[in-house]
Amino acid sequence: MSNKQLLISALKNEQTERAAWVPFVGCHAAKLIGIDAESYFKTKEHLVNGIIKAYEEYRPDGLPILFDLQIEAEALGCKLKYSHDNPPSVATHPLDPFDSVNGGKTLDDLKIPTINNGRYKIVMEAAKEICAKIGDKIGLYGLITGPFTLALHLLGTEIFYQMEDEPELTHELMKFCENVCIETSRMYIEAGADIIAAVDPMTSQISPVHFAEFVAPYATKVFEYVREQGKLSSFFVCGDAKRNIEEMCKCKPDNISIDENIPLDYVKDICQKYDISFGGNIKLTVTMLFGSPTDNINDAQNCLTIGGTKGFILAPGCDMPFATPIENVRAVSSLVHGEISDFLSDESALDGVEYNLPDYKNEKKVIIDVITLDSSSCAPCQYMMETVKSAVSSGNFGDKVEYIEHKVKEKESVVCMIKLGVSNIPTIVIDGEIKYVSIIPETSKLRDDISLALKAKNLL
Amino acid sequence: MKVQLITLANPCTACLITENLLKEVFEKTQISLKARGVENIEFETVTLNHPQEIYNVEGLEVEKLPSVIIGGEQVTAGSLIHRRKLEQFIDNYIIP
Repeated sequence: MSNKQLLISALKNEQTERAAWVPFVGCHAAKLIGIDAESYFKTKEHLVNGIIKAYEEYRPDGLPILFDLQIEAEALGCKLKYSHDNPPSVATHPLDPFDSVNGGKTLDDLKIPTINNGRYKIVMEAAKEICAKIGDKIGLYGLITGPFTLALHLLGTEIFYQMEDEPELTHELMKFCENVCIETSRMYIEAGADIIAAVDPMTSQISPVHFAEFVAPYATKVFEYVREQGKLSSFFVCGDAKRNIEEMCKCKPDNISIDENIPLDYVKDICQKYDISFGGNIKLTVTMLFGSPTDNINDAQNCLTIGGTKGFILAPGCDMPFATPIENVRAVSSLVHGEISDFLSDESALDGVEYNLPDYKNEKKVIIDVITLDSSSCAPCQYMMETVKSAVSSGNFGDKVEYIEHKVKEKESVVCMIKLGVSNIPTIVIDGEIKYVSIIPETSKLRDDISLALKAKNLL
Repeated sequence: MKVQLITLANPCTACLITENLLKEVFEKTQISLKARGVENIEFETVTLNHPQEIYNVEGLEVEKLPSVIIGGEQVTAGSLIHRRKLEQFIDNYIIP
């Protein structure tokens, strides 16, 4: 199955051989090609080169064509403030009645953007080129600003009082934003995008009641449109939007994507009820930006354990920070592709580091080597260690069985891992033979395996 | 009395939108307070370079950014606040 097909299957909430992997590369692509974020977001060639570089470095199953929630707002008259190492941000709101300089417009003054407005032309030209180059290999996401976040861009924080004081005006604004979303989706689909993702982080600021009234009718129409075009859709939210997940599912996207503020297991339970796939949620700042490669493997592993392989897309919680260390993202790729030992041996500078494996055949005991990240911080590693301890203690093997945890945070453990031929974490090895790779066995089964190993050595 | 906006350098897209909206709210609030003759309120934006610096911020209890702190007391954690609500908080602080 190709990477693209794997992602498509995962988005359709089907069982896949492994979780799909989609690093959300936004302004980070600028760093990959050695330029500042402002130049990146304004230049077609940079947009193309950045995504192609991300594809080469990170071996994903999918990528966003562009992660910029200001395209529509800019085309509609919002002034933007650009940054050296961040996405641009909206600086003015044309519909703000209290801004006598840059605001004061009405909806009648605004027109649905066309290809000739703002940066639409360079974005869609870049999209076409990216789709032509790698669109057969991976799934490509056209990201649109969700209707509520777009409404906030246009009106500013006055929207929160307008929802209460003048709800009919808010409905008119949301309808307009729905039409902008649909038109932008149409352009991305025409350019070759496989998936349309409506990114609506500001919905985390409103209640489920307000979501149901002011967001759901319009978001639903957007996803309906995407479905009619034969494409897949995703509904992204950042921030603490746990209370709105169920309402988001009712809008009928194919997928929901979240950040670290919402527990992944909670989203999994809700999404599975609605037969919707889900994705997330590696921590952006603590892990991806400031963590080490093994921290990233740890966090991603925890996500994979919770997410499983049915309808799950492993992803960062949102677009990765500009300065995210490349080796951190590569670390996650290595986990996804089952190449941790290769990655860690490259990263660890193992010259001069020694680890001597025991002479398993001649030892007067059975030795269980458990290769982990660190059972004190990695959930699946912890479960595996607990199973080993439980199997050994319940078997009453006395001193005929020894178990050792090898934490690959330590270089000696990486050498041990390589020598044992282990390529994934966590793994149980019994007397030098790999037994369980990333699967936590039943305690009784493991106890039986240990007994067999003892019998093979005439120790039982 | 100090009103602080605590932000993190390298925010994600969503946090950046929230942060900028909060800065606008601060600007509007300052204008409104000045028009009402309310003085001696200092508005400050504090940008943290690393999440660990959270522990150095007095009054920051819920570790979600961006956050607003009024007189050493946290009033928002990762969420927006409207100008009217912020003024109400400030009024409650200066007129107990």
